[in-house]
Amino acid sequence: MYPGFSLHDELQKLVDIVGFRPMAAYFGRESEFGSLEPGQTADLVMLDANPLVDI
Amino acid sequence: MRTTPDEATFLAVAAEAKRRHLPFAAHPIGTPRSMISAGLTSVEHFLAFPPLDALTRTGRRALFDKMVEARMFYSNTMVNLDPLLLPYEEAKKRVEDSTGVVDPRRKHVCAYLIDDWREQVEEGKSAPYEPFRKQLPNLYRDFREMREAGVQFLVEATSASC
Repeated sequence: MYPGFSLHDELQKLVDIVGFRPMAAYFGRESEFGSLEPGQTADLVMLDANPLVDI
Repeated sequence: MRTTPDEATFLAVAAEAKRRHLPFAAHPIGTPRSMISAGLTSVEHFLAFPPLDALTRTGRRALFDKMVEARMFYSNTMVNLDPLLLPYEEAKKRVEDSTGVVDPRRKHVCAYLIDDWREQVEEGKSAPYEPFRKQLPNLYRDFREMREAGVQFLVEATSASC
């Protein structure tokens, strides 16, 4: 068990072992959100530079 | 409550928590029904061990329905089962893997946790938890049936459950 990673591992186990489903799958909207892919809705911005260098 | 000497102490603490309107989270002790009736807010790791094989599926469902009715949460912290069941040599390899070759996550773990981990690995050298492995499939069955019954799960861990 690795501190900082274990929460993610636990969530994965809840899906794989207990049968919980990611929310997007639960609502039948996997084509809209729930994965990190171009075109998906997400509260995430990926940059190829450090914004702290020149904000 | 992480450990308790006996069920009577557990029930006394539960009663006092109820009297003071305090949430009460604990490792399991006693029968599932006694924990539910004691007003436990959340139970950690499992509701019963060994798993609930003595009950039929209908019997287990009735028990889990009681949990739902009592608004008793379940915090299973499954992630801590893996290290308990890791063979000694493999665990030792990971502890000493300071550059993260075996597992890249290892290099992010700070020194004092590594010391603690090393100590725990040595304590588990004789594989005291190995008999636990055979119980896992039915323990997982209980987890799934709890979810199906609508028991609310808390994601990790004991201290956060209240």
